[in-house]
Amino acid sequence: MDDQKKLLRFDTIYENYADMLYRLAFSYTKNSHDAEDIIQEVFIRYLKSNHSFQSEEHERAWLVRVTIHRCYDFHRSKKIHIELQEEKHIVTQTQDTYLLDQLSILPKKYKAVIILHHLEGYSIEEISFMLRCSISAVKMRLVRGRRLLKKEMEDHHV
Amino acid sequence: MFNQKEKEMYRSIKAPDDLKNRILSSDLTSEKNKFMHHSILGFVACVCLIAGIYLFTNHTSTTISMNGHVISHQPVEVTFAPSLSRTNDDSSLTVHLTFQLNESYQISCSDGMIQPEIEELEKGKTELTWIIQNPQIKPYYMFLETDTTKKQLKLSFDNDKQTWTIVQESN
Repeated sequence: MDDQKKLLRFDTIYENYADMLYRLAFSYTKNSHDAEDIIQEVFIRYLKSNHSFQSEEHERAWLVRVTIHRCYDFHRSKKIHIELQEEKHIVTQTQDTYLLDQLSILPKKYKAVIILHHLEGYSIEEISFMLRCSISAVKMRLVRGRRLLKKEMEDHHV
Repeated sequence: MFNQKEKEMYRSIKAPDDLKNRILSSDLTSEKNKFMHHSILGFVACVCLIAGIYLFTNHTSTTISMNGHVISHQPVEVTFAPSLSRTNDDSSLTVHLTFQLNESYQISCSDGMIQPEIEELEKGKTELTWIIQNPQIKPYYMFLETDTTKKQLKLSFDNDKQTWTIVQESN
């Protein structure tokens, strides 16, 4: 693909998926700067890569996987603890930290499927394709994630 | 799982407007860096090539020959030299040498004399004769030196071939 075509493709892909990927990264980092860094890195990698994707689904799956792995790397390298200051940053964007606080209690592999399915609206099959895991594994993660969230909500209300 | 308000709230999180431009400018910067990197590598490669050619040329442009035979690290038979068996008081060993040099060398020898009597070989082509009176069965040396380079020619009698040979030795 020549540079011009690649940039045109980047425009389309960015318009379609940048916000979704940013939200995903933001859910993991709870910090806009780190989320921006991750997305910037993911798209630069996309621009530099010589992947020839079979379809847009493959392209999207690649972007989601790379974003999630970068979020894992981020957690590994920073071993972050959520700081009050960072939470305030979320307040300015969402006016409510409750949802992200809830999500933050989830183990990372449950978090991705919960976000992609319940908040981004992807089907179990689509998530299975994106994360390269079986449909039953996605279902299991959803069930366990929901259970944990439910317990968290109950504890919160008590 | 989540109510509509929560979903809307989540979806209200958007990537900053300038993020796209930052990505593109970062990519361009890295491309520029890559170009710079390649340019530097290209430049270094050219310098290495030129230096290599220069060194190779300098190394090979110095030749010492005898009657058209280049004297290298393989012994060259000295023609027209007297057989040692016929050596007598009047005999002499005469070696005609041609030097093609890329720089000036100080020249000297362990025995015998150089004709014409010179102590320095000029850059370029020089012909001279090394004469050893009443040669014995022992090696004779001719030394060529600059501040950085040393060469020596060894003239010795080969008992197997029963002839004199000359060879260039490295120091």
